Amino acid sequence: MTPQEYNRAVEEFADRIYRFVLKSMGDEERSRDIVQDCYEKLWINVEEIEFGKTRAWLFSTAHNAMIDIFRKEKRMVRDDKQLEDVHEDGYSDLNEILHACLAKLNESYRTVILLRDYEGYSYKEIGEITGQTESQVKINIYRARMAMRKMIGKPEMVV
Amino acid sequence: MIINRENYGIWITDYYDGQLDNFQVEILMDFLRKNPDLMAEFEDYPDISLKPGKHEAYPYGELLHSPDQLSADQVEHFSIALHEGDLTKEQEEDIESLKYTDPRFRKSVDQYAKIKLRGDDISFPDKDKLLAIPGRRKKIRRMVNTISIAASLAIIMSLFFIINTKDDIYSNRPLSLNNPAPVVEKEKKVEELPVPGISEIPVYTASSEKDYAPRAVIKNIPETEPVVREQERKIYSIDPIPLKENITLGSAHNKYLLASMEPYPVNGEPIKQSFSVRQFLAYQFRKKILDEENPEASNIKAYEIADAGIKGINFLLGWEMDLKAEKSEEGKLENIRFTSELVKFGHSSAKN
Repeated sequence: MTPQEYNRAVEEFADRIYRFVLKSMGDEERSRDIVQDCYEKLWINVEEIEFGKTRAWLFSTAHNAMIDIFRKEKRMVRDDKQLEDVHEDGYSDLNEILHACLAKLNESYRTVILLRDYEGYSYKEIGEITGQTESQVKINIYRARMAMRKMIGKPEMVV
Repeated sequence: MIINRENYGIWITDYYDGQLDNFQVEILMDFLRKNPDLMAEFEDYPDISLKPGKHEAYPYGELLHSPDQLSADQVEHFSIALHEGDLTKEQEEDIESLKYTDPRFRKSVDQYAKIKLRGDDISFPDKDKLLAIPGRRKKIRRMVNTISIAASLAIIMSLFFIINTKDDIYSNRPLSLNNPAPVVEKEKKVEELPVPGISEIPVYTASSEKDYAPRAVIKNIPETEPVVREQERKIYSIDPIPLKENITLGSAHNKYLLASMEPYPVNGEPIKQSFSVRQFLAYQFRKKILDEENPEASNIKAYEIADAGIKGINFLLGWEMDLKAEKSEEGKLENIRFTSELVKFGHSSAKN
């Protein structure tokens, strides 16, 4: 990848990586740090990485960085209390409700949903980014969707 | 396995399934010859095997169960699969048609259609910091080019004024702080000077109160009336005295006090700095525009042009931009720092 392509990668993917990390972590400052670290690593390996693979590489690097943080903080343990209804919190817009539900999903569910809905990645691509098999990704997406629907609680709120 | 009357059925089945090798087929035939009552069963076996019946079209061909048999979880599963694009075209058509006949499907499909995140307009705030150095350089270069263009215009205008004004160090303005007298008047009065050896005072400059008295040129000093001692002939200089009042040529008897700091040989023409056009322009540029006290006549540097442009823009628009160049001990440019109210940056001239 040339320096010009690196700059293009910044212009095209920085916002997406930041959104992915921010939605996963919910912490602006740390999200910025992770994005900067990702691009720093990209710059260090700029000659070895093809531009066509940059996007997936950045998402994968950001995901791994988040996993490290989650492991340190032991946030990977799923808390079933998170799956309580959110409709009582007073959200009005459906997208707000969905993002509230997303925030309450565990990390592995949230990651696959974000990559699927925001980035439109296939099961295979998500598997390459997160280190899961294709079928694991599919199962996680299905479970995440069902969990979100359960969290929304009353179906009338969605329909 | 040894064939006998209890397991011969398995041998017959394997025979018709093609599972027996030649040797086993010989054993089976030998057994049937010895037990002729079983031969009929062997011969009738193909007729009793099952054959597929007439195919009846299943209304939901791609679904393994009829919609009534599907559990709530399976309905959800199909609804998710529909939105994830995991179904075949036929399956999708089946689900779509079920939406109109089965309320469970209708509700579930509609729900999952809405449980999909829409993108937020989130942008990374520090994107500029991520750009590669060449990108930053490009921006700085673009900025310097812009400033240089502005500076060039300022220089052209400045040079126009320099060339068209007589108010410089080489003009013959009479020595008067407030109201300079015409040159001609001064020259006439010089002739009346009683002091021997001083034939003319060619240059008097006082453009401001800070100026000092200019040099007096002394030539043709007679041998009989030495003004200075032999030892002092080579260099003749008197410390300048700040002007406190208007000095006219009428008081030119104080001319000795008006001598320049600059050394002049007693005999011969005064030392003149000879400039090429380019050096002259560089000298004037540094003195008049950059306000340097001891300007050099060397070639003008790019950052000096930018500095002049910034000064010009400050003058015209009343801004307070500043460009400072830091040099090494060898005089090489090391760093440029630009400061303004909005932007502040430094750029090292060293190659990264």
